[in-house]
Parts: sequence; C-alpha cells; structure tokens
Amino acid sequence: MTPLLEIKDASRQFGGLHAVEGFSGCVKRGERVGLIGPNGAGKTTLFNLITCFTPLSSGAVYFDDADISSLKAFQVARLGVARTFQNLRVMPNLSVFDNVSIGALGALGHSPWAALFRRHNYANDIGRRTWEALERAGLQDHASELAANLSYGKRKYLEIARALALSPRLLILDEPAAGLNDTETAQLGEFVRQLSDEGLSILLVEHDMNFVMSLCERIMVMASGRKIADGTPLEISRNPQVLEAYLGSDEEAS
Amino acid sequence: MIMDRRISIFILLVLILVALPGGLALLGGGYWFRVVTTIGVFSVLTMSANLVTGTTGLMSLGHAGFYGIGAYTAALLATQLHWPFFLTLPAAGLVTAAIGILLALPTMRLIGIYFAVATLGLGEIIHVSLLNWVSFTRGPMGIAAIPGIAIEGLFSASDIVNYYAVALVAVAAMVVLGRLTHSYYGNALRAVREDDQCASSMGLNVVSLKIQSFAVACFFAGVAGGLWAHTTGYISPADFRFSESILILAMMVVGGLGSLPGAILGAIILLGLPEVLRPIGDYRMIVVGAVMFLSILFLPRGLLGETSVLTVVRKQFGLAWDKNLNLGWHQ
Repeated sequence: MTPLLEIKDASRQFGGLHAVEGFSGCVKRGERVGLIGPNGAGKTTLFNLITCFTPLSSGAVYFDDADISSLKAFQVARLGVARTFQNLRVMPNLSVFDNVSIGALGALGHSPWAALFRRHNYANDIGRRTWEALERAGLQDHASELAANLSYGKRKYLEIARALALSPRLLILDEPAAGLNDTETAQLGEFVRQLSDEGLSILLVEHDMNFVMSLCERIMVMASGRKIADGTPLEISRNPQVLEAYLGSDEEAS
Repeated sequence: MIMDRRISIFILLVLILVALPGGLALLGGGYWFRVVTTIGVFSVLTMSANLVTGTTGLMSLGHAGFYGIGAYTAALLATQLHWPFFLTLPAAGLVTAAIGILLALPTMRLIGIYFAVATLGLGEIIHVSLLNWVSFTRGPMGIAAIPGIAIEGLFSASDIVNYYAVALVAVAAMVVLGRLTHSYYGNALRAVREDDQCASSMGLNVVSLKIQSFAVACFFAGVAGGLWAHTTGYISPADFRFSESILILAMMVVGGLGSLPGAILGAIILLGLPEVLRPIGDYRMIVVGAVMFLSILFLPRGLLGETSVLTVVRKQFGLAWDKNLNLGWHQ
C-alpha cells in the first residue's frame, strides 16, 4: 500500500536561503512520525509546504496518491490534512464552540444560501460534528467560553479539536508540547496516542525528546533544510550524524 | 427560548416602525420624516458595511462610492427609461453588486491597511467619475426630478410612503444580514476576520468568503442609494463623497463592529444627535465629535460590538507585517 503522505524531493528557497532542500519522506497510514532537528532546520517550512501554505520551489507532495503541490491551503485541508500552529492561533473573540465549528465548516462547506434559507440539516450536521470534536478533546464543559479566557494548555486542545472537526486523515502538530509542564505533556502524549489508535496518521514537530521518543514510531531528522536521518527512535538516538547536528562535531568543537 | 426572544424583539421593532409616522406627524411632519428616512437609509448602509468591516474584518473606506453607484443606477433608470421604483431598486442593488465585485476582485488578495487604502481609492474613483462623466451622469449638476415612490392608482409619492418604503427595505436588510451573520456562515466570515491564514488551513475558502461578503454589502449599499434617489428626488456627486464613507464607518464604530442593532443605533445617534441639538447651533458638531471620541475611549467595543475596534485597527495597521513573517520563517 502506498504511504498516505509522500514528499518527493521538496525544496523551498527564500531569496538565497535554502530553507528546505531536496527533502523526501513519507507518512504511512496510521503511523506516528516525528520530525526533529535543531532550530532553523526548516521543519516549520516543511509543514507549510505540505499544507500548501507556502508554495514549493521544486519537488512534489502526494497525499493519498494525489499530487497536492499546486493546490491551495483550503483545498488541502478539505482533502483531510489538518494542522495546528506553533504559535497558537485560536480566534480569541469567538467562543470555544465557534472556534471548533470552523473546522466543521471547512469539511462541510460554507454556503451563504444555507444561512439565508435556514437549512436546518446542514446546521445540525455542523453542530454535531463540532460537538463530537469538542468531546474528543474533552472541552465540552468549556464550549460557551470565549477562547481568549482559556488557559494555555486548554488552547492547545482547542486547536487540536478544531483540526479534528475537519475529520482529517493526517494530523500535523507543530510543537504540541511547547510550554506545557511534564504532567500536561504526558496527558497530551496519551491523547495523541489515543487519536492514532483510532486510525489517524500523525506527523509532529517537537523539541521535547522524551515526548517524541516515547510517542513516535518513526523519526525523521532535519538539519539545514536537509533530511539527515530517518528511522526508529532507537536508531535515531544512536545515529552519529544526528548527534553531530545537535551537538556539533569534534573538529568544530576543538 | 432564545428564538422566542428574538422573534418578540422583532415584532416589537416592527410595531414601533409602523407606529412611528403617527409620532412624526405630531412633531410637525415633513422635516422629521426627512430625518427619519435619512436615518433609515444610513442604517441600511451601515448594516451592510458592517458585514464587510465588522464581521469579515476588511476595513472598507469606499462604501459611499457604491452607495453612489446605486443611487445613479436607480436615478438614470427612472428618469431615462421610466422604470418604476420596484424595478429600479433591485436593479440598483444588482448593478452595484456586479460593479463592486469587478472593482474589488483585484483587491481581495490584499490584507489589512492595503485593502483599506484600495477601497478608499475605489470610492474616490467612483466619486470623480460621477462628477466628470457629464454626458452620462450630468456631472456636478446632478440628476433632478427623479420620480418618487409611487404606483399609479394605488398610492402616490408622499412622506409616509417614503417612510414605509425605507422601513421595509431596512427590515429586509436586517433579516438577510442577520441570517448571514447569526449562522455558521457568519462564523466562517468571523474566522476570516480573526485569522485568515488559520481559516484557510481549516478548509475555508477565504477569497470567496471575502468576495461574497463584499458583494452582499455592495448590493445593499446600491439599494440604499436607490432609496435615497427616489426619496429625495435629486442627487448629485456631493452626496457620495469620502466623508460619507467615514460617517458610515463612525456609525459602525459607535454602534459596535459586527452588531446589526449597533449599526442602526449608530445611525440614529450620529444623524439624530445633530438634529436634536440644533438649538445650540454649530456647537452641536463638537458634541457629535465628542460622542465619537468618548465612545472610542470608554466603549472600545462600541455600544453593542462583538469585537473591539482597536483589535481590528491593530490588525489593519500593525500585525499585517508580522503576519507575513509567520509564513515559514519561524522555527
């Protein structure tokens, strides 16, 4: 079976800077994949390329065997690629429920006619989907609160709930554990594992090594825009190139 | 429960609107009818501009231009082709929406202050065209003797007829715009206002949402222009200047961005106050200015707004650049 997400030789330049250079990799169906690398390695740029936030300079991205490289961000989302953001992007003036309904709107479409003629079936579908996503993320008690009033930890769940309302097949998490304490990080890991057990494929960037090592089945390592390693957590932790990328080589140190 | 309350408020509003002419007649008629119909026309303008600026978060500074297109469409159709008002009003709306979409298409990819400046330019282009295209619009002379709102054999043009026509259109605009904003579709528009990039990554077609809200706003601005033309009987480019766009913006801000009752309240305050304060002469404009100033200071959300004016303004003038930087440079 072909992988769910396949990145072939993806490159992106910003002026003279090669943010991502010839990156190839994949996420198989149901897999939990981690993407790690030092600061400035190009991880977030790669996420932006996959979700078509930023256009590719060259290369291609395939999702479920379809070339998505030339699509727009909203089309990729509708195909089933949902993401969260590194710097949380909840909509502070909207309630938690309304925030999550955005994902449901993305999945079911937004037509002014449905609003104008009060199509109850459509509204009920969106409401049901939103509520399911809220319950999955354990936010049902906060549904009517303004997103601005949620704690930092809860906002992380809000972003994930909004992504879940899209009914994605691939969930892309950009530093989900950043800013969380150990207990919260462990809970989040448990939550992500549970989503994965329900059949969702996961790709995540994270700096917390314990989190990545314990959660992910496979890890890709990036440095200076290139992929330098790809393997199980055990292989990665023993890979000399990875150690070099993080700690610097002996020659440089001396 | 909430539904019931909304319906009862609606019925109360309709009763007030039906009964109001009696009160106006007691006050002495003519002049007060004029004030109230102007408030009605500006309520429609402010409610429609609110869809674009308050709900979708695109600061439009050219609304008066589209209002002018509607007014001239209705006036020319009525005087040249002798169309009755019930055809010119929808035509004014449709023509304005079509021109609005054509003019706005290239600006839909602009964000923040760039969009504001582009719409300011559009408003000026429309105003200057109305002023200088003399063979078509009669230029600064304006169009006079526009037939009033009348159907032969049923009713003839009068203050009361004008009043009810404006009230009817205002209620219709409120119902349509209310349904669009108080719905999941409204949530999609608000998502564009709050964070358009995030909205697109959640599967929302941001460009089409922007165009749709702009088209609907232009439609109602056009209908409001048609009402203005038919109720005053005379229009000139001076009615559709930049200052009118700013007046609409001020009404929106005082009433509260994103709120329909707020838009009507803003129109009542900013048009009603100068009339009520007439006894103190030109000082009244100072009072009106002070009301606007104080409302920004002490009620940044306006009287009934759902989002703070400052949030939107900051988005327009501050975050636009930061937001661009978020595109892949942060690690």
